[in-house]
Amino acid sequence: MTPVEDPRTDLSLDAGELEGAAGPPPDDLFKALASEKRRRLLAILTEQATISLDDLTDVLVGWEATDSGPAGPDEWARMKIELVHAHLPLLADTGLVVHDEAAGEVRLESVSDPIRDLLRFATEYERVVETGRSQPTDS
Amino acid sequence: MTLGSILSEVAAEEKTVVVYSPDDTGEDLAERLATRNLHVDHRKIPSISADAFVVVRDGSRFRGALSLSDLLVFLSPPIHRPEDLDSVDAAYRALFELLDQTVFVTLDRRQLLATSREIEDRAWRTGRGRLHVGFQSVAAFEAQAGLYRDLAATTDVDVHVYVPAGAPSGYLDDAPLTAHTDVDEDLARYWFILFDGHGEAGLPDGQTLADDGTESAQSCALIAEATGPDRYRGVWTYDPDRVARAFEAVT
Repeated sequence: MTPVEDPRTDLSLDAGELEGAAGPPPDDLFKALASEKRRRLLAILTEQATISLDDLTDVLVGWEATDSGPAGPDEWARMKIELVHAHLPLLADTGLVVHDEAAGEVRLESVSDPIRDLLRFATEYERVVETGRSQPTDS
Repeated sequence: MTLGSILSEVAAEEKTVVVYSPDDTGEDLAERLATRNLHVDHRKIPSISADAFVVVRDGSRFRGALSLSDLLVFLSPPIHRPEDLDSVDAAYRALFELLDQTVFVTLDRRQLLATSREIEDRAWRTGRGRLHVGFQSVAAFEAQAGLYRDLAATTDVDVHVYVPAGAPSGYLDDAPLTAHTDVDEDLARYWFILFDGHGEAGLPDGQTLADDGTESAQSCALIAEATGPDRYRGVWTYDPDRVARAFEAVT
């Protein structure tokens, strides 16, 4: 097992790193994180900067299927609608995600390091709470 | 329509299974799915979730998603299917639909027998409808003939047995079933067992097969051909249309 840095230490914030007004207002930022689907979406994008909307829908539907059982095309269509009409606009307004509708792609906005660290922390926090493990499964 | 063309048709419908896992879980899945008509890809997901899942796609269409552990249960023969599909969740129905039409290429005799038993059990429980069964060998026929005799004698199922050439004559003479002894060469290549829960005769007055949503849920078929010693390729299906066409191919 490789030691993992304590994620909390990544969260020290030097005001200079935000480079002026580069960050979203706190309410917007924390609202973006206040939804399991959006956290999952952001976790996916921090590992894979660009993803097609269809692939993103696949991953979120599949992820949900691990909690709630098999999902079919109806669930898929609902998830895609929810993404396009709710989650992606909210994340775009917050300046975290770009939804390129013409290309059918979703990508992470270039965010400042502290924001990126916060997204990583949110992922790490969720992993600890959800799985009781402080790092990815070793195999 | 022949049984062979049904096999080819199903073989052409390859689906893609994408395995998403935070680690190496499911890496051996390709091997397990090699017995099915499925192409397997792997992708990493963030490790918030401990559970691997799979997404099934048919060309560009999303067909279904389920956890890897659910998939492994469904892939183990004999096939398990809820008795009454109307009572199960729509998503489970979709799952059966998407895993239905997959060809297996490397089942052995034991697995085929287990699947045959599942279909026969269904015929026993339903108690009516049509069951048509054909054998690739005299030995298989001799081993199973008693079971079909009992089924025909005990239930209202209309049983047809396709007796392979060389089988001792008179084996089923006194059984209330139809024994076909002049099986043509094309048909004799297949191990098949076809069942539908209705048959036109079994329907209430005034009801046609088209109205009949519930009993067609009992339709199932196994069609296999030997490819080597104790090796078979074939398909099992719950698709009522495909089962109906298999009946047409043998009658």
